[in-house]
Amino acid sequence: MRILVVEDEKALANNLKKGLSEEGYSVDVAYDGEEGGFMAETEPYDLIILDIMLPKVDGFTILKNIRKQKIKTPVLMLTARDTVSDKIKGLDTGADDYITKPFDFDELLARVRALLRRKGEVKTAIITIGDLEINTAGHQVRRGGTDIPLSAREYALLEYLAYNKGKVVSRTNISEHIYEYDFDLDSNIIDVYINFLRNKVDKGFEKKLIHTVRGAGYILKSDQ
Amino acid sequence: MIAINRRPLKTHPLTPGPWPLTTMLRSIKTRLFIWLITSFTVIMAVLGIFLYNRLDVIVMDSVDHLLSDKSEILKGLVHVEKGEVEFEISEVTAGDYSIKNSGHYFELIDVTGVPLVKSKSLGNFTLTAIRVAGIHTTTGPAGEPIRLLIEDFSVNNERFLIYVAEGITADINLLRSFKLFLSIVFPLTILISGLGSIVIVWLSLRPLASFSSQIGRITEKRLHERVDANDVDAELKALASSFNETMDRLEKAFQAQRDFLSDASHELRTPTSVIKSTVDVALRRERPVEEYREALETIKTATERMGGLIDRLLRLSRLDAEQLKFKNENISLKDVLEITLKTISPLAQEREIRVNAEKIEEIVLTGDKDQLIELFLSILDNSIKYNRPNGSVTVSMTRSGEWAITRIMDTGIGIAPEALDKVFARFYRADLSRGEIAGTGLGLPIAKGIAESHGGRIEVESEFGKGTTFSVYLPLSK
Repeated sequence: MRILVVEDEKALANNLKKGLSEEGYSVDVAYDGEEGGFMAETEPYDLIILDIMLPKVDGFTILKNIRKQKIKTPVLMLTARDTVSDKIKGLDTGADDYITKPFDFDELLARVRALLRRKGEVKTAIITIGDLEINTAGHQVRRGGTDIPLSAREYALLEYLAYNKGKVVSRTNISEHIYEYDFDLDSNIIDVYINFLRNKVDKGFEKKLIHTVRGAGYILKSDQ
Repeated sequence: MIAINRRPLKTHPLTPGPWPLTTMLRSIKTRLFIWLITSFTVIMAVLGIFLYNRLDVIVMDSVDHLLSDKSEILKGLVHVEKGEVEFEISEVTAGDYSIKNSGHYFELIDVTGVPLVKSKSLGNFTLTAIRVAGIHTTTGPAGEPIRLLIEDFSVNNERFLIYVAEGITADINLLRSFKLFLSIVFPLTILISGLGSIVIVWLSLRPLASFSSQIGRITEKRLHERVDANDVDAELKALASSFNETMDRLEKAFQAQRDFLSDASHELRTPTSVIKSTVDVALRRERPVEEYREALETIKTATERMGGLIDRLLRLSRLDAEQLKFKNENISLKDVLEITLKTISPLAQEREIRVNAEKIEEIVLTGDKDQLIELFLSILDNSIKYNRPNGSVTVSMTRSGEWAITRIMDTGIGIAPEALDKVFARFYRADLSRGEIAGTGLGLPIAKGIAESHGGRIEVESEFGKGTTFSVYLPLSK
């Protein structure tokens, strides 16, 4: 899952990047409204965390612009002002949620997960595909009652496939949603990670869950 | 038994309770009422006395006219021939005079008091107890009030006194009933007009009551509400509009206070959220020492920023309340400026800004050295941070009339004309610079506060894109 953080307070933005990356998200950071707006409009993010008070272009304007362009990416507003009118204005402009500074990082993560679920059909923290169970809150993956330890990168890939379960995702989709903006893309790497995942998730099980769709990409599903 | 805890009811000041006399006298209604009743009573009493006296005079005048007419006739009836006095009175003329106690009387005596003639109506009674010519009010034979005219006249050198009297019972009764009428009607009039005045007072004070209830609706949370100046009576319009103006000023002050608080909390929230998120992220897992050190460094910076912010906020609020203790010492402004320039030079070097001092006059004035250093530091800090690369700041200090003028001229980004009056506003930072240039937005407001508490001021001129000049005016002698 790829997240854009638009926040002018560099220390805070860096903390968000660090914390979210450690949770397996790919995080891009913009320190001002102009850059943030441009990135939000040109890159396919799964979520945007948007501060309101920003240099050059404020958060409300960015939000208005991306919604005008029919970009439906969930937006989590980050506000230092907790006036009701600011919250109403944010939600009415097209924000999906807001959180007031200073916030608890675990709460921010929970809100991020909730917003990411909203996009698909998944509504709870635990996604199940057949006997595969992915706990998005704790990043635990189990199959048939056995824990499967995954690296952050592997988990991110599996989670992305799980959020889109039953749908074909292309290599481009994956690279756009799993890797940061400045990631030097070599599509082989996706195949490498898919291989790692297969070894850990499908190996030893009769029923395979990760399928290759020739010429299109990959799909995570339990039925044949 | 159940004890009922009765709380004393709070009486609203507007509800009329049992009023003590002093409170009653403080009421416009009571005073107006008393004033009206008193003035009405005085006017009515004077009018009553005047009317009664007028009627008395008119009635008595007409009796007196009658008496003098009758006296003329009676006098004409007296003849003196060869020392003999003759008085001829026909039956017709005698008329009422012949009926006893008819209320019409006359009597004639000579100057020595010898009775000559008297009307039959008098019977045995005599009017001659009084010997002074003129008009008298006395009693007649039946004890009734009479009006008596005594005239002294002579016929053929014989002198006589003629007494003519008319009963005035009817006239006295008329006057008495008029008096009675007045004493009933006038108090009644006073009473009615008193009641009327209560109504008038109530009616005329009613708009005031509704005005006060309109004002009563305005609370701290509904400061935007106003009294409708078009809805009140003409007399209250001035009051309503001056009240509204006061409310405007109050609302503005409240708004400024609220903005200040919300800005202050916003400014404090940012470093707080940095600290919180650093700690939260750091504690999520075991980390190498280097990462903890990094986190602590971040927290340290944010804490310092918060401390500085709180410090400045406190200073500003003390400047507002004029609680800041100022030293009053003779100081050389040149020294102050030199210290300031030395303090700021590392920042200037770091930003590659040349700071030129030109034409610095030796000026001594009374003030607080540390505060003045901070004043100049704030402005110079601003001039350096908002400068362009390889720009310069030029400082000059001259004496002009009563003032020591320090000019700080930069080659910076300048201030847009519409933002010029906002540079001294708290937390104001040019939008473009937010995030790019560190600052609390409190430096210039503090500088302004320090200048003002020294009896001076700061003026600012700017050309957008070219540079800004701050001129600090400080009085040479306080």
